[in-house]
Amino acid sequence: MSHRDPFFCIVPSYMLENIMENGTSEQRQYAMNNLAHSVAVRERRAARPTAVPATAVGRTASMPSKNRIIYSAAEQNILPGQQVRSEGEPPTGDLSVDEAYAGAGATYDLFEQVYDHISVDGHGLRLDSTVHYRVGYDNAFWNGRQMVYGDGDEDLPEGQRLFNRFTVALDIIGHELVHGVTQFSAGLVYEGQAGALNEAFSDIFGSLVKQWKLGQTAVEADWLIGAELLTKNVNGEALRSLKAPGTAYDDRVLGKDPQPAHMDQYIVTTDDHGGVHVNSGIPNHAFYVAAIKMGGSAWEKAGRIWYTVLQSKLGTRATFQDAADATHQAAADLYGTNSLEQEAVYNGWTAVGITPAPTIPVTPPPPLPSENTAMGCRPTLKSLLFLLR
Amino acid sequence: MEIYFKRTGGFMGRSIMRMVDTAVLPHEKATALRTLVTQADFFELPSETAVSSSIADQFEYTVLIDDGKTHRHRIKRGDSTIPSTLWPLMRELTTLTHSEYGRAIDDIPIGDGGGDDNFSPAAVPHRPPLQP
Repeated sequence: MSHRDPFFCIVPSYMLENIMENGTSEQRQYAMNNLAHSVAVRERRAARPTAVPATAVGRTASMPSKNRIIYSAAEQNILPGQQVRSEGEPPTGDLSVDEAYAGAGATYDLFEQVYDHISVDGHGLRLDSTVHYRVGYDNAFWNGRQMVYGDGDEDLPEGQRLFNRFTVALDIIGHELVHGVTQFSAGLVYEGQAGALNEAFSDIFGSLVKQWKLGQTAVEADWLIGAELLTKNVNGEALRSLKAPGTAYDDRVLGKDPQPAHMDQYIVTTDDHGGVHVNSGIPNHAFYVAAIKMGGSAWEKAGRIWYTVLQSKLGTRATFQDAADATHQAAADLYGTNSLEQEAVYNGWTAVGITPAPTIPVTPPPPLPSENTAMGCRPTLKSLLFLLR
Repeated sequence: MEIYFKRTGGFMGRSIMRMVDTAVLPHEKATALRTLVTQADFFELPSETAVSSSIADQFEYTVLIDDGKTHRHRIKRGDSTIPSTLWPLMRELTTLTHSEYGRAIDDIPIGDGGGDDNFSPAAVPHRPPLQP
């Protein structure tokens, strides 16, 4: 089994030991694999040096570790710009610099600690970010190699400003980094439904970074993207809402949030690569409904299902139907056919007008404790001795 | 001078499409806008540069400027291909289209070079075409 098997490291050691002693041969094999993997992961983490110099292309020379560099474009358009903070250095006092640094760190931490995924490429790619891009740049983007953030409407009189700096919202930073994760995994093309899925994965995991950092359950979370971005001059609470697409803002200047929440309102357009930022509201809402029905922390089960699909279950031109089918199957693979989790995924997609295809029946794995996390694996001496018998 | 401006994409995914006519702008604003057009050397810019689809969340701009005399030129750019000399004009147009001076339009008219994949007859201004 691959070290990225999503089953790995979600079952605590005491349960694995019971399985190895009392389970069927198949269950015993599962438990042995899981324990062996846990040992490997822990050894790998322990072996990581605390500071590893990056190579010229951004990859670390040996074992990967978190490695962030923040640059300033000094209001110009030259990338990456002047280096202003690197890994381990103290805060600079420049809000944009320090927010970009902290946000990249939080995103890295979620993917490493929950999904055992190291940096955006899974192999420790250095995280480069540039802030203060151009003057009056009301945007942020991922250029295939790094994150770029503008300062919003800082050049306008305060009474005319619509946008704050784009590093102000953690979910925006997470969104941009997850474009990198998608680039290095499913490689979803930025067009049509595949592009809207690309956007949705960024919104979903961008929101999960924020929820994870704040320790919020799915019910407690606001499910907004860019909640801190709009100024008080705008009648709106955020740029997008996964909970209620189409309701994030309704403003005299910006107009109304155009996102659909259902296939009935799917927007056919040639703008924005086929409306990738508007039609993403549909898969966004499917995830929200599924996560709420599963309960608990959204990054644990719903997040793991979507992460699994992003890593290995989608083609580059996947449609919404493909994503629905893949997440429905992944839920069965992870939690069992007809499990509560699979039912939640089914309900999520049908809520937006898409019916997932029937799945291949899967024998449910041993029951999972709801409070467990990926860091919950603690192989014991007893279990390791059992493996060596 | 008539300026047609379209911006799509970006993190927000919000499309803007407006026309600004310097004839209805306050004198000071109109002069400043003409200066930015000159500083950008707008009418000498290549009409189109490739907009990379591998850059997620970038803006895409389509701008047509007709000076009412001899120049009528249309360009298309992505964020990553806007030179620093052009950016102040793009920024000013974005701001103007958020103001009362921006007039809603259905599409961007055809430029000077033909081969326009976004040409919409309905969007052509209601006046005779310019002579070559």
